[in-house]
Amino acid sequence: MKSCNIQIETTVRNVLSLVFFFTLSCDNSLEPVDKNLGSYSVYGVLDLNNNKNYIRVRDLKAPFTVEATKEIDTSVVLEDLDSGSSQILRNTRTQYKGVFQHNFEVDEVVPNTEYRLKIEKSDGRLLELQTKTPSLAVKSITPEARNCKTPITFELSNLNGGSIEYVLSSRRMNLDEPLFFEAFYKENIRVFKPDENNPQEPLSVTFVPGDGPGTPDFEECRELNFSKYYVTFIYYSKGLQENISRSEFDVLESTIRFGALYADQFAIEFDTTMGAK
Amino acid sequence: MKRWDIKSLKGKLIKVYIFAIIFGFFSVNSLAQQNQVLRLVVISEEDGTPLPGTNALIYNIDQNQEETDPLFYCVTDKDGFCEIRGLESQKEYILKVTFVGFKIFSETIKLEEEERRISRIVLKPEIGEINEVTVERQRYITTGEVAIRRISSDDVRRIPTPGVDGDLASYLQTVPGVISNGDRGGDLFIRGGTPDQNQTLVDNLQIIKPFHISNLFSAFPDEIIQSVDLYAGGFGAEYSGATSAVIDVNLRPGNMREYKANISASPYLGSFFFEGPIKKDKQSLLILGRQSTIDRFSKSIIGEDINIEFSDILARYSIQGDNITCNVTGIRTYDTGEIAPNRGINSTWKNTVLGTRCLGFDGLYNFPVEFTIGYTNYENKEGTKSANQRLSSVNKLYFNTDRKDEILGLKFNYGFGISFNNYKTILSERFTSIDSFERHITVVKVYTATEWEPTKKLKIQPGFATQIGSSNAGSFEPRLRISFRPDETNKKEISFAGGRYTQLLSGINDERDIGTVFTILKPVKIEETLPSAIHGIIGYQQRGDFFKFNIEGYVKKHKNISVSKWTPEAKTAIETALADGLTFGFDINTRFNKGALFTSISYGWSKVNYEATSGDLGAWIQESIFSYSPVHDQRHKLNIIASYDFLGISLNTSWEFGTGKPYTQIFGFDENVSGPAENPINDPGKTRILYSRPYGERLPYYHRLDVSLGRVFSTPNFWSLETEVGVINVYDRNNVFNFDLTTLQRVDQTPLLPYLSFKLQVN
Repeated sequence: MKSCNIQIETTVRNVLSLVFFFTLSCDNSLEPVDKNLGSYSVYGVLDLNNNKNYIRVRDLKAPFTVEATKEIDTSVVLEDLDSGSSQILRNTRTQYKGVFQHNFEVDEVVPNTEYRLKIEKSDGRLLELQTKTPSLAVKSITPEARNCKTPITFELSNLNGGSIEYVLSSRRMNLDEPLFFEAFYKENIRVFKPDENNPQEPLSVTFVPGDGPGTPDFEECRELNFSKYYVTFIYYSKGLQENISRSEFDVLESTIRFGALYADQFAIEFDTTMGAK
Repeated sequence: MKRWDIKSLKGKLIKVYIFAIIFGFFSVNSLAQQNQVLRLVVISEEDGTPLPGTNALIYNIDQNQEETDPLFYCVTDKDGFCEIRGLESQKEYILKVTFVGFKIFSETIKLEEEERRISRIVLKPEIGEINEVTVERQRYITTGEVAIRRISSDDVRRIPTPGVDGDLASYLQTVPGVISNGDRGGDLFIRGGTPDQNQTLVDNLQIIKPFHISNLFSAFPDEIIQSVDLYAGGFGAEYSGATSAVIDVNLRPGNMREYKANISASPYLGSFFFEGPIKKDKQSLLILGRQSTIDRFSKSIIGEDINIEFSDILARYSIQGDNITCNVTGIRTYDTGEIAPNRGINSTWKNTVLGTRCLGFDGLYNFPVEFTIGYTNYENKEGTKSANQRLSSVNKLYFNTDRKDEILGLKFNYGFGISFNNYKTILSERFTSIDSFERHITVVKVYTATEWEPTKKLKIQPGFATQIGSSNAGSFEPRLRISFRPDETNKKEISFAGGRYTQLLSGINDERDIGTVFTILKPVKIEETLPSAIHGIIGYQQRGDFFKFNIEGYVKKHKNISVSKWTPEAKTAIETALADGLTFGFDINTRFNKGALFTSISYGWSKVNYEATSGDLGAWIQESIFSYSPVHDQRHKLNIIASYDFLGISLNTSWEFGTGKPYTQIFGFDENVSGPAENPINDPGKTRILYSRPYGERLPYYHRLDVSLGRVFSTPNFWSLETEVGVINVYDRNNVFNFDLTTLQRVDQTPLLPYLSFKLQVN
């Protein structure tokens, strides 16, 4: 009986030793943030209409606290790959609800130019994004003589790829209005995407003013209460329009929105003094 | 040619089956055979209460009782009742009744022709140490124990708990296959099943969530527990309405002979207790009330706030008649507080249970009859401290009855029940795919089960259960238990248990967020498929005089589990989808109990996987998610319990080690600027937290050692003082509970928590 008790005591001692071994050896660290995937979120559009543009760069791993966001460990450089020049972007730090936001200021950009945005951490980790600003489209309208029943063709040429969103409307839009983009999306937008093999493919649209959008029923051209159609368009760098209009949610892609664009508008006048519809 | 509609045929067959059971229930008495029956009610001389698990053995008058097996035997149930049939009339037998810690009762019996005798046996306590001989007397215990954990109040008492008494909640978490989400929330996952797939019964009365907000406590301290049966799966046809596990709690009746009362205090909770006879040996009353105090003392003990509060009150009135035993039980529990600290989200739940269970065994009945009438109310809500934002409740009124019979030499258990249920849910934004609702459902359930022993080695217990709700066509639930004893004794046994299980409601919660336990209890509509499961469990058990060893392998396949759809963006609103779950694993358990020493070592390995039923479970990147390991998928769990009594002191230790459960990392904290409509310099953007791949990482290992030392100081004038000093988390392990998404603050479970508790008792 005594030997049995000794055996039990030995077993209990061994088990307790095992317990303390586990206690000392177990790693107790917890890494709530996935550091292997993603580094910065980047939101910024190089708008050729603006003298200055801003690019929001956020360290995705920094929580929403003052301490974590006060500084951002990064340098942001925009390189002009065509000219070889580059500008170190200035951080204009703002604060919203106690959390700092880092928006980097970009001086004027030029059309039809390849730019590379380099976001580099002090440890050498680098995020590079590239975009080519849209070229300035050349417009042409035919025929010269137009009335409300004449098919009119307008064309945007000298393109360098990328999509164009455009709206044909009797209403003029104010491109300087900050809410212009929001208003634009509520209109009847049409999207032009050039053939992948022919990025220079021009945008060509033919319409008859009397059949145009928003045109009321009328018997004669003179009944129309307007004599101009406005073509308002936004010309996006390659991939940007697709990024904006994507319906599927993708975590990785949803944190990057960088590209270039410009918006423009022109009027197409036609004669409303003669002819029946 | 007319084609058979299988579904409608099945529905008709189920209806015929229900009719046959109910008809049989009322008519079987007149059809039953008449023979000699010995009914025994075994009670303790100490307090006049029944002794479950007692062996009653019948020997021939000249039989060598030491070397041969008895002619007949039975084991008493929770009412201390069992019966023996097949005795010859006018023949003398020896009846022996044995129970550990009590003197053997022995007498000569002789039954008359057609006699149904009821004998009340009073066992006297045996003074002194329990030796090998007493243990040997326990050899005729029930068989077919696969997937069943029989838990005694002694088992519960051995687990250190910051109060004088042990608690069922603390004990259950030492069982392999039983998983909790940290130390708060009151949710237990059993072998892959979620809390809403488990059913807890207290004397046949359903209690929806008896576990307190602190996972150390439930409504059941060891002081009031007679026994608990934990069915981790494969349960018989008498249990229905759960697809994973059943916790069947049997409370003890109040002392039938003496008045006893006590009050206790500890940093965690205070309690009062009273029990005593209303009519000696016939009626008694037991009352227990507890109120947590940890929210007041936590700051001074561990230096941090524990903002939780819970209370419970339980009353029990017991009647022991000559031919009937009844218990009227009332329970009320209340829990409130923050599951995840400092989130400002308050969870509250309440249980109210009132009902009675009676066992009638009058000689007029060929077989005993058991019935239960009860009312169960449960309400859980969640919101800020000032306003509740969501509420879900259920009210149930039910009647169940169970009978036994013998047809063509086969013993049958059968029963039926009816319940009237009202489900109500009021929701705000969190559950976008579910609207507030209120529904009334009536459910009828019936079952039959039989027992067939083709040889002494083999016992087969097939059964069948069905539930028909006012919005359901009827469930098909065959069950089977098989036990094989190679040497015809209970020392070695191979068992199998399995079957099909359905439930008529779904529990829907936001499983993505460990900081919420709010659950919608939603009855399944007629056009929806019932949640169901198929269980298969096989086990081997070996018993020695002082040890018990068992190993079990199991598979559970759940269908139609309501889960929250995955969204890569952290949102409070959830959408739900249906998933199928597959759980498999094995448990090994050894127990050694000799004299003052008790040890138990348990190890469990399991794997849980959820798979989309149709469509997907959400998306992270553009690929849809079709399967994942849910939060309760813990692979390894090891529990060691040791207890030793010396010099009047009880030393209890419990150590648990578990590998990490899945969690989802954060991909990033973002302020999304929706350009070009928004400009970074003018617009702050939309603040959002993005998840990484769902459940892609595992939490660190969990381990904790709890120790307690207890001693009772008695005084000659009937007062006694029971004290316990202990420490929860002795080596102050930082076991992670969760992390705050916005601040990245890690929240750990209970740190080193010392306690000193007292119980002052008057006898």
